[in-house]
Amino acid sequence: MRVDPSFEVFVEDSSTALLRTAYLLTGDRGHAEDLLQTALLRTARHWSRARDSPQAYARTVLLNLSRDRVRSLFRRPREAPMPPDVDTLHAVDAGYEQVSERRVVLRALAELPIRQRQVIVLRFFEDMSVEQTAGLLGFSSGTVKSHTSRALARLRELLADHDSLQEVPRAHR
Amino acid sequence: MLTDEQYGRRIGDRLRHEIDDVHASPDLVRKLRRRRTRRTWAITGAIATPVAAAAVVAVVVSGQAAPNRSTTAAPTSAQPRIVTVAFIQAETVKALGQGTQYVIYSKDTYESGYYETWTDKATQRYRNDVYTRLPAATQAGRTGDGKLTLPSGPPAPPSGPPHRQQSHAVKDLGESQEITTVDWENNWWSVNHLRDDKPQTPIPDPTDPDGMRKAVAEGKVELVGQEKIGTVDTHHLRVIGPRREYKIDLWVDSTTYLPVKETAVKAGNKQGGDEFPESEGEVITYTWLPRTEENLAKLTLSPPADFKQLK
Repeated sequence: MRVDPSFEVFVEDSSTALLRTAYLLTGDRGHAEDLLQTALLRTARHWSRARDSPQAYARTVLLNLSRDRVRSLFRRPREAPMPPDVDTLHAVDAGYEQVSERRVVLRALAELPIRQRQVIVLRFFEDMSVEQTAGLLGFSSGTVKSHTSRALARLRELLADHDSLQEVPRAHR
Repeated sequence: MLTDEQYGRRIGDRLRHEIDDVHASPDLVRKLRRRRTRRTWAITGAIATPVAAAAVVAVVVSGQAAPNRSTTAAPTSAQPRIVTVAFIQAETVKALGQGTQYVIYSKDTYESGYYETWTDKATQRYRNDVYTRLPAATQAGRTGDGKLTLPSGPPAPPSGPPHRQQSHAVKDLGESQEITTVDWENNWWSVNHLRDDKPQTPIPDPTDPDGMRKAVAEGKVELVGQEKIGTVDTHHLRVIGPRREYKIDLWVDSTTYLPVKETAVKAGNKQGGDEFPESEGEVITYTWLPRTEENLAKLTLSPPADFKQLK
């Protein structure tokens, strides 16, 4: 079986960045990996079109897949965490708590509706402009701004107890 | 107080920090090559419903008389029905109402196992039992971080009799879903809630009459012939996606027009030089059960008392 070598290079160079985006969009590592593989397969299938800007192509597929996820879940068994050894459940639980605490913003992000989540990820994780975000999502700039505003307001509520996120930088005081 | 822009930047920085230990698998290319039997959920999700069946049947009814779907003659007792877009839409809406009268039992068989699903469209609930012939230690999709996915192309040939691996019961709560999972191999269960928007997607929602009308109008539908599935007389239909990205064979009961059997094959790539394999077909059979207490009880999933609950 042969795969275009340039596609392999693309996968090696970009898959971690795309996986992180997928993780933020889904809030679930298993789903993120699933979405990434699906997005890469679709990118490969249309490689002649995607090869000029494969990361943008794959990212667009990821965004679409993240919106499809709810309906897909209604038809498929839900992925679930599986401890490697049920005798070590307590240890697993403790580790999970630590990871959960570390990923407090990720958990808050997962509380947002998908549109708002997408906007936050593209604007502030991917560092895209309002116009770039609007183009990628098929929104107007105004819609991106309103989603951003609502999403940040919600995040401020969810993360109100985390002082480090609320502090004003000294230079602006 | 931080401005929105400042706060957003801080959120972005924090997110980068929180997931800086997330890395893609180094053998991702190999995994992609091996991902050959994964179910094409979006495709079958759009087809494996009474709504889709009704819409397709409407086309086939026309196909029997007018394969180009463009007949305009008035029907007589000797002529088949005229099919128009309005007819398809009406049949779709009608089937939507019919679908809620049943508990739909389906059995989906693929290379390494099968799963059984009971769906109650009236309450938007379903429950399934996943069976696999793969030994527990080598099941595809079990990764080092403890995640389980459906079999996606087993690395080794399946062996042994099928055993129940996991069961799931899902309730649609409007803006969220409650998902109960029981793992029969490792004796645990969990309840998760998924919050999300309703999907905005170009893929038609099978419960949306407008979406299904569009799917049938844009795709290609063929009548293969009349066949018997078991003791049931059926119309054998073939549905090909608008960009030939999938092919679905569907057998519908010639009396009720409800689907009896379906096979779905996702097309492999023939362009661009890459050669990911075509997906292998899987077979789904459908049984339409009355919504009796006994059948509705199939939707309930009760974990055994001695199983550990995961939070």
